Amino acid sequence: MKIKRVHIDGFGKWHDQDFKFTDNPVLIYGANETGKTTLAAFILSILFGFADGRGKNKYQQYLPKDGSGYGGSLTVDANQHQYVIKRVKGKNGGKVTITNEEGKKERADFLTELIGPLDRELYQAIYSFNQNNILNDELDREQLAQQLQRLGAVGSQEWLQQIARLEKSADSLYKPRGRKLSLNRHLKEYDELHERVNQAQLQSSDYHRLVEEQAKGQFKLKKLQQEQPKLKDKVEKVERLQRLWPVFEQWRSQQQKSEAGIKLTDEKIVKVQEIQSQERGLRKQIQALEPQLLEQQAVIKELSTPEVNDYRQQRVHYQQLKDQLLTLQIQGNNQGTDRQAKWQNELKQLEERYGNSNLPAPLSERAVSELEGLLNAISYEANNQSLFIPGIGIVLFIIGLILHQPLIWILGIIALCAAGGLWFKQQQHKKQLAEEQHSQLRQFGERYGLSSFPTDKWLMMQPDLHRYQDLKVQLEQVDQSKSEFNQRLESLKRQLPIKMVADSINELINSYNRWLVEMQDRSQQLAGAEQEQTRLQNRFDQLKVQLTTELKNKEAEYKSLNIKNDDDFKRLQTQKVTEQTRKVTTEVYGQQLTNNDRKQLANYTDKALLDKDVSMAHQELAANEQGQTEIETKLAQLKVQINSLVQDGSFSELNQQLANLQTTIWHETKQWLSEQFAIRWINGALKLASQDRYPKILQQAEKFFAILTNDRYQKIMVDDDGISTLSQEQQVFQVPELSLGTAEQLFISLRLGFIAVISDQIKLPIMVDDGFVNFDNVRRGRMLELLKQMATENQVIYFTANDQIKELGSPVIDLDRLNKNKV
Amino acid sequence: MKFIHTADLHLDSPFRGLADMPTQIWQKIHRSTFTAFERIVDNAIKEQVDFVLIVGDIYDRDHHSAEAEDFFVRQCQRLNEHQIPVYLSYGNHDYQIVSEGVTSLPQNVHVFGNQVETKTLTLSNKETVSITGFSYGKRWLSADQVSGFPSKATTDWHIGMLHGALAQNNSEQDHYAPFTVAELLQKNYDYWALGHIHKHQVLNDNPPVVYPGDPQGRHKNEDGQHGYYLVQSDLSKLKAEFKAIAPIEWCTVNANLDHLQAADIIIKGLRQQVKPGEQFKMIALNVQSTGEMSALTKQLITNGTILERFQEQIAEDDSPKWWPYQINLLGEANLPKMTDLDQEYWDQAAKEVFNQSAMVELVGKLSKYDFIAEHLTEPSMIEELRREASQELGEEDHHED
Repeated sequence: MKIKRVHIDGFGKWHDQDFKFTDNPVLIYGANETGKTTLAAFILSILFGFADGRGKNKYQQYLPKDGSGYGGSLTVDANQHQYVIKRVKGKNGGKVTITNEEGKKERADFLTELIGPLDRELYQAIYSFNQNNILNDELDREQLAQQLQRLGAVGSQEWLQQIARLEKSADSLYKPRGRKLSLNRHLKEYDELHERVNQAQLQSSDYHRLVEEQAKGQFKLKKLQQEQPKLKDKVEKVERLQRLWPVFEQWRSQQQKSEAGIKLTDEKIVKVQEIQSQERGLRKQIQALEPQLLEQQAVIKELSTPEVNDYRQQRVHYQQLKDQLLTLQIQGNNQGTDRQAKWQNELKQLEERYGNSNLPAPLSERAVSELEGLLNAISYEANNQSLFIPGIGIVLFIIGLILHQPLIWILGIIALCAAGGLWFKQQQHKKQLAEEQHSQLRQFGERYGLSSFPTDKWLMMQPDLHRYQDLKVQLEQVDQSKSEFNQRLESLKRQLPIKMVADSINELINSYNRWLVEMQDRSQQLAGAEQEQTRLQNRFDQLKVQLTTELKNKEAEYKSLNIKNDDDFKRLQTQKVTEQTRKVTTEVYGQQLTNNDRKQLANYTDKALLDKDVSMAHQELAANEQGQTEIETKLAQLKVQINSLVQDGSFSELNQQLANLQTTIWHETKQWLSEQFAIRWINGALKLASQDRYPKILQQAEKFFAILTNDRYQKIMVDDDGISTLSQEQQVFQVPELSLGTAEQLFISLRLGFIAVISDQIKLPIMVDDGFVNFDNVRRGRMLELLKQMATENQVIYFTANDQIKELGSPVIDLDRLNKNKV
Repeated sequence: MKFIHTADLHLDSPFRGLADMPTQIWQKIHRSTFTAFERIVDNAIKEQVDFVLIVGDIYDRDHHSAEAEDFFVRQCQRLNEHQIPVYLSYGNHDYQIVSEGVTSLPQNVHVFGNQVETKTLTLSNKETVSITGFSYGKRWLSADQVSGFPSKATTDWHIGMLHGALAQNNSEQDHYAPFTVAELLQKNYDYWALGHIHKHQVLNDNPPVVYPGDPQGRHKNEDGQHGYYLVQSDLSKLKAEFKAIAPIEWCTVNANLDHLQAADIIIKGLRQQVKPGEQFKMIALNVQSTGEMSALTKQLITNGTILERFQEQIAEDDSPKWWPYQINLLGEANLPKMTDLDQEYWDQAAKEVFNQSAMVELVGKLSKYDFIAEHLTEPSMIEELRREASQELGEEDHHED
């Protein structure tokens, strides 16, 4: 394909501009900023599409600044036909229309027939020569050699980049000795995870072991649980025996002791206790009596004064003295002072009455009778008996006193009383007589010395005179008896046991009597006391005797009991009570013991053995319970462990993770593999292409290389080591040995050789954009020759800023001029 | 007579082909093998079956978790509470030496020994049943085990329990008690309860020879319905009926993206193409690669970006009914156009590059990981790698975007 005409509607700085490419090579000159690059970009854009304005192509769009229509057309020759390729603004690089020489539009994909399977990049890689795609300084020689080797395939440059990309991608994924790369990391992760899974697998076998242990533990536990009640039963049994042991022991010892029992019987106790009670009673009584006796003795001592004792000895005598006194008293009383006084008084009265202290003697009875006759009317015969009767009384009374015969003295008193009475009657009678005979009586009075007295009173006076006379006598008698009495009293007084001061006998008697009564009293008291003492003493003695008897009895009893005293007995009794208590207890114990208990207890000779059995039973039970606890604890632990294993889920999670990781790893492995394969494939294809095409390429390239190097190098050789050149001097230079400029020339020669070789498949214009920077100026002159050489097969479009081109004699499209003309 | 036939519970074994997922989803997945068996037990109790047969692979020996065993024991206890006996044999995944002694399994569980043995039981209706089976004592049982099975017993029914695979007549492959259907039929049993193959299938109708499959599929190849067989007597015959109970179903959905471009729109488009069902679905989306599809879209799919964002969106749902675990870009991956000029070289190079030995060499010590080695032995692997490599070649550097 050759471009014949270029028409730009609007592209960068160009608008509505036509270029005619009539010559081959097409030489285009323009200084900087004259639109060379824009024109080249336009051609590429029409062929391969407008740049899309993204990324690196951002500034490759060349959208017209003046707003004219974007795009334009190329008129090309191909296959002996002419086509117009027009491209305007549109999607995906612009809208393309291809019109043939007959003005007919071709199919959309007809462009592919014109430009082959190339895209913009590939086209540039093959047909475009500029600073960007020829060698530059940085490119190292080895890479150059590699590039040269793979020049034989279409797009080798691209492919090399692809390889680089794939290598980069693959290497970022995995290297056999890598560490930090994705697949390497995943593999490492996988190994670790696998290890963990294995660990978890072990855990799983742990689970089996645990479950097995659990089953065993449960079995054991069940067994222990079944045994436990039996052991408990046993413990209870032996513990019961242990509890019963004291009872049993008591019971057993009772059994043994009963024969050596105590002789003390209840009867004996009763008897002894009775004796003791008696004894106590007696002692108590004795005790009580002793102070009484003492008291009594004191009383007696107090009472038995010498006086009383004397009295007691001479009681009769003292009584007699009293009687004598009494008799004396009676005597005294008869001539009692009262009477004496009375009598004196009477006498006095009589003397007063008659006014004469010496009254005549009384008349005789004859004289009285005379007088009475004189007095006549009333006479009163004096009664002789008047003295008789009191006399009898007195006698009687005295006799009574003397004889100590109350009856007699009472009769005496009665007689006296009677006499008294009679005497009174006589007095009255006398009076009457005196009154009747008082005149006669005066005479009479004379005779009898009565004349000094009224007659009437004569008679009447008689009694008084009598009386007077009597009184006189009586008083005389009284005085006499009184002295008698006093004599006797004194004698009596002297006989009295005590000196008594008494004014009268009565008083004396009274005193004496009182003394007697007192003495009697005292004596009686003493006697009573003595009697009481005797009684007490008797009682005391009696009690003493009784006590002795009881003590003797007791002693006898004690002797029979083989003891000595009460304390012994008491002890014995206590023993007995204890024994009885024990007996009762034992009996109660005995009731607590079953025959079986006794039988079982009998197996033990002593408590220690039983205790041992108890502790053994306890130990067994404890062992059982501990065993259960241990197993339960163990089971609980197992359960926890099992549950943790079961609930852990980590195993399955790990497995799933592992499976997932396998997926990831396989995915990456596949990715890596496909990339590796792709690299190999590219290399393989490139190598094949190169191998096939290289001889032809070399053949072509050698021509170009000779031109470029001014025939310094004639031959280019390829072998397994790479590319080498043969100089004029027949020296072989490996690519690395060449100067950079020469290497570049070699590279360009090979590329041109390749273009020539594939020209039978595809022929596109070669675009050279002032690219030969490293070509030294000496050889620049041969440039046109080279371009001409190149143009034998392909159209060559050469853009340059070097104005020397204009001096080479070939037609040049001068952009400078074009621009100037336009302006 | 009525019983449940299940096998390959693979309790608590991990799900393959998943990458990281939210806890919520992981829980669902993790519970699923448990839930599946729990449902079987629920149904056994509800249906008042006479017994339950579990023909091997209750656990994965490599993934035998305490949780799984504890769970299994508890479920057996539930059956025990309802007087439902369990007859189980161990398979190649949970092979073990079966011995008498203390076991954590309840009394209703009857475990077959490592030698073929017959257990007899009498049903409540007085019918007698013989069950013959055996447990794997080692990972592989290359010998024909069926020959050791006795002929039909005099009991009313005779059931064979066999964890194994149909004989391939290839000593390299016949590791799992190889048998032929004809061999089984010869025994004249009333039912052959098989295990080992995870896809439920009936190898013979009368008498039934049945693989119940695993009650819960565990990776994309175990898609479709999973459950157990409820077997009931019908006169003198036994009829097996499949009951789906798996809480999670693995599905593949073919999705069409056409010219959708933005990731969110792509996800929205994909989302509309999944129809949620009753079960929770683990979904692999197969996206057909078309010329319309932009290179970027393809790249977003192949590098997992779309899936990641899709999963993020699903995880934000209140209670997701499904989970996209994979998005595959299908279709011929074309090399970039510029290879057209060198087509012969590329084809030639592909022939030279994509081969087993190159793969082995490249993989190097990675192949020590058996899961990688396993993948590498997949016959289509080379082709797949070539497809992916093609995709790689077509990929452009979009990172600067």
